[in-house]
Amino acid sequence: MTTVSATNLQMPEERSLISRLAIRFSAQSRVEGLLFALVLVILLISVVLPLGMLALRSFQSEELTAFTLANYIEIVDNPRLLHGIVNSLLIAAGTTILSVFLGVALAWVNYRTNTPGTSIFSSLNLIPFFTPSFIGAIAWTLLASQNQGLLNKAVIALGASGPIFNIYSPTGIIWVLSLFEAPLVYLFVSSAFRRMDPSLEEAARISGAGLFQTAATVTLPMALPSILAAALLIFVTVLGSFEVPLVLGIPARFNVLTTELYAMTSEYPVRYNMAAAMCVMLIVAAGLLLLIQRKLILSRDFITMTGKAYKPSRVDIGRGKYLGLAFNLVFVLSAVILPIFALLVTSLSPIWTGVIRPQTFTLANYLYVLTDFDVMRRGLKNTILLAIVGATLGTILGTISAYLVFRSKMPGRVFLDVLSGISLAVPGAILAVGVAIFWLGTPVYGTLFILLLAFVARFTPYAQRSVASSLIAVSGEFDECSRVAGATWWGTVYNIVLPLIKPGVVAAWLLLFIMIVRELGMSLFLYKTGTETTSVAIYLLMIGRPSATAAACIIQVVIVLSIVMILRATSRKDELML
Amino acid sequence: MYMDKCINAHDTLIGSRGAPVSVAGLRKNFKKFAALDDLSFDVKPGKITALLGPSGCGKTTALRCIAGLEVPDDGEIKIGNTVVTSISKGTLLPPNKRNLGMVFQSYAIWPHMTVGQNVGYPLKVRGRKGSDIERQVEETLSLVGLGGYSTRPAGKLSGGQQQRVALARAIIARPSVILFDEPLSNLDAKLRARMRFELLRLQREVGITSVFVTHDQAEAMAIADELIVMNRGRIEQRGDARSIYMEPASEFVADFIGVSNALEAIVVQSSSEAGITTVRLSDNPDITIKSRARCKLIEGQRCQAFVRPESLRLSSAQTTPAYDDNILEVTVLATQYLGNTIEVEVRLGNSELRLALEPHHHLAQGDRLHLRMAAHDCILLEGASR
Ligand SMILES: Nc1ncnc2c1ncn2[C@@H]1O[C@H](COP(=O)(O)OP(=O)(O)OP(=O)(O)O)[C@@H](O)[C@H]1O
Ligand SMILES: [Mg+2]
Repeated sequence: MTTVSATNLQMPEERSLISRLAIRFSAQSRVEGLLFALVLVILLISVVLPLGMLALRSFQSEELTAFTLANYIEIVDNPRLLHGIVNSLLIAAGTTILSVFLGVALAWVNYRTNTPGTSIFSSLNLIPFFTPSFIGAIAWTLLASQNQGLLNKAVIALGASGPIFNIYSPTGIIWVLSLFEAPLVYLFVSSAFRRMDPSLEEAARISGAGLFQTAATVTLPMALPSILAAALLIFVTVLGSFEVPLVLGIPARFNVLTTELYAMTSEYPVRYNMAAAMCVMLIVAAGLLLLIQRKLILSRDFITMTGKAYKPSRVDIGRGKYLGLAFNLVFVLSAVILPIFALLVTSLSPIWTGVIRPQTFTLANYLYVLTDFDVMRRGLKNTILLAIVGATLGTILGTISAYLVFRSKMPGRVFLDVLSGISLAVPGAILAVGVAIFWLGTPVYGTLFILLLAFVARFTPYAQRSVASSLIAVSGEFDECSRVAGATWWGTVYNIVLPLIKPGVVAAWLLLFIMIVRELGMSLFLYKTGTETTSVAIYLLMIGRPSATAAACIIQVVIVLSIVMILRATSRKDELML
Repeated sequence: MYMDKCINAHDTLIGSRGAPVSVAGLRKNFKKFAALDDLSFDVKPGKITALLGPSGCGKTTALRCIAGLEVPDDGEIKIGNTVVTSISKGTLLPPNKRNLGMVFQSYAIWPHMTVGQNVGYPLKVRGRKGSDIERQVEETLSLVGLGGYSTRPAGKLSGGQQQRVALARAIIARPSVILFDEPLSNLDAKLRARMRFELLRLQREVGITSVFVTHDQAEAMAIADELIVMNRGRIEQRGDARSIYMEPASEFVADFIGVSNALEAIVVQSSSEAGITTVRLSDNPDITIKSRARCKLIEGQRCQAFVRPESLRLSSAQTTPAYDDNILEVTVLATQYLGNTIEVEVRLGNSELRLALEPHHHLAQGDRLHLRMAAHDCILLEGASR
């Protein structure tokens, strides 16, 4: 008996391997095959080749004459670059610690305690997540620069002998970055809290554990994988972050890897291959850390995969709840209200001297920025164009690849998923260097097209995730049923799949629009005169014209936040997860 | 009025005679795991055939292969005279070209459409006129008892209503075959029993060939004209409900269908006449019983005797056994009163047996009684693998 079935099993496998593969491919719709090829080609051009170019150039001398390890050796030998590495690690570590503390504490206060006002604060706390971090940095220079910072003036008025805050410092960078990264921890941890069965904590209480003992032995350990995952993600993000160190570090002569990278590619003599070597090092480090992070996320899902969301039980922390309220207030003040207040008063003042004089308030700065400053005018036009076209292309591509990965049976779909995830692991500044080097010397270099390409490459994976989360929530039986009912592939996609995932697609488009509008890092590496974006315009304006800069920032924030409003109205909070 | 509609609906729907389905040599491996292992069967036109088996035995996989949603590694599937899947010939018809209806386990009622749009979808994608579709949707909906529901949004239907909508959608285009994947398993017990009858009635009226997948043997026996019992991607037995229940062909079937008492035994005297074979119980060497062999057994061979709880009787008086009866002395171990029956556990030497008796019996633990077991009800199968 057994021998017969064993040979039966073997034979067809060997006989018709090729014909079986052929039938497997023929089972896929031809359209799916074409789409697969299309996505693959675009990924190749926009991500794989630029990064490959980085790897190649990193092993070449600046004259492209010989293959050499000299670039890598110089990174370790050059004390200035070594300093950059140490500084980057310092900033990343500091920001990770501070933002994890802020995020976990905020999540606990807002989701686990009876602190008043949590329903308002749980949304307010997320605002920094959507606003551009370099605008936050600019705002904080108005609040905490040594000479003119509003906070320093306030403490002096209160009796301090001199300024106590200095935003142009490593601490200042860590502070601003933490304000912007804390909401990410907050999102991760609060979603873990929401998926945690309250009876687990209740069991600990009944077993005799006190309030804080329960938090320490049950709540936190269960949320630990989420916390670690968020911490690693933040570490990697900060390692590759460019804008805040640019705004706050350069004046303090405090350089990190990314600002060195910027100097290398924008100051004479330009050293692209050296830059490429640094990019490769950063990519490898980021890739390794993100692999670990993925493992943690998977294990987190395993723990909390009960699927349903619970209504978390809230703990009565007595008078501590006023402390919780104060904590919420301080965070929202620091991350949202004070920065916007500073930008507003500065933008309304004719000349900024660090003193608020309401009687002199004027709209002249807005007028200047919108009408006289032609870089900003161009920037607005370019940004709107890039955001609309880029969000549309990115959403289409992301939708196609989400469909191929999660719905088709295309052989190679896992490969596609991995490939499209690459640009999530690569910091924007580095991808931009790759794109710049790849197109160097072609007519495309220095056009809007190259910015568009970089944005699509960088942000499409976010669209893919947004659409995929909708797609996963929609049972595959919906489309299968349509096929069996007699509909063609197109008919099924058009009548069933697209209508059902529409919220995810809309959210993806808005998300990409926001991401492109607030983008600065990549644009700085890729813009030329004529292709400035609003962010670039703000950056160019920054030196010496605080009032006009503040006006431009307000304009930018208004654009981004109004899109965020639409986004929040159309989708669930946790679909926005990075 | 209502009658008119019904008759109309019948006119349009009864016209379709179902097509036969034949499946030959189907294989499907997931990695190295064989979900389907040389599966062959055919489905008679216009009848309900149930694929029955434990979870993971490959029922859904087989159904999806017929639907064209899954590509088998080997084998051939024919619907009517059309070869829809043939690995050796390289034929693979896409699902939408197979003229099928399917009721999914989750029902897959599209939430963004109305009930009418859901039901009319198969006609719409076949390019029918809007007015035609409207009329047929109304007819089909009244056939499943949902007349007038057409404009309701489909997102907020109850489980039973969703089931009916799925059914209406599956039959509206008069497919040659309907595939059901555990369509009743999401309903509560009462509704399940009712829908079982309705499904049966509807299928009889419409007369479309149906393949019905379930792991619930009562459901399969109630609905199907023919049962195919599957295990590990293979067929264990096929036949109508009665023959599968009364004449299990293998240990697996005897065990899977209903409740059975299984007794290890050794053949003492092989079939004399009418297949009656005497065996000695392995656990009780001094007890011999007469039973019915399903196949030729030789003396000294190890085998298993299966007997259903409801074919055993208890009596207090010692009666002379008929030629083909076994009378055995047993002790009552425990009883459970279940309303319509009493479940009794008795000890027979070193073995335990379960009985299902009529509820009027009064038994107490420790009672010593006589167990009556007709040889005809005690089935011998070879190969005591356990
Ligand atoms: N896409 C797949 N990938 C890997 N294994 C699969 C896949 N689909 C099915 N299997 C495996 O094949 C076997 C048969 O699956 P199938 O769904 O046909 O079982 P079933 O008889 O329908 O069971 P149930 O009654 O639980 O629905 C199972 O062991 C299952 O784990
Ligand atoms: Mg199944």
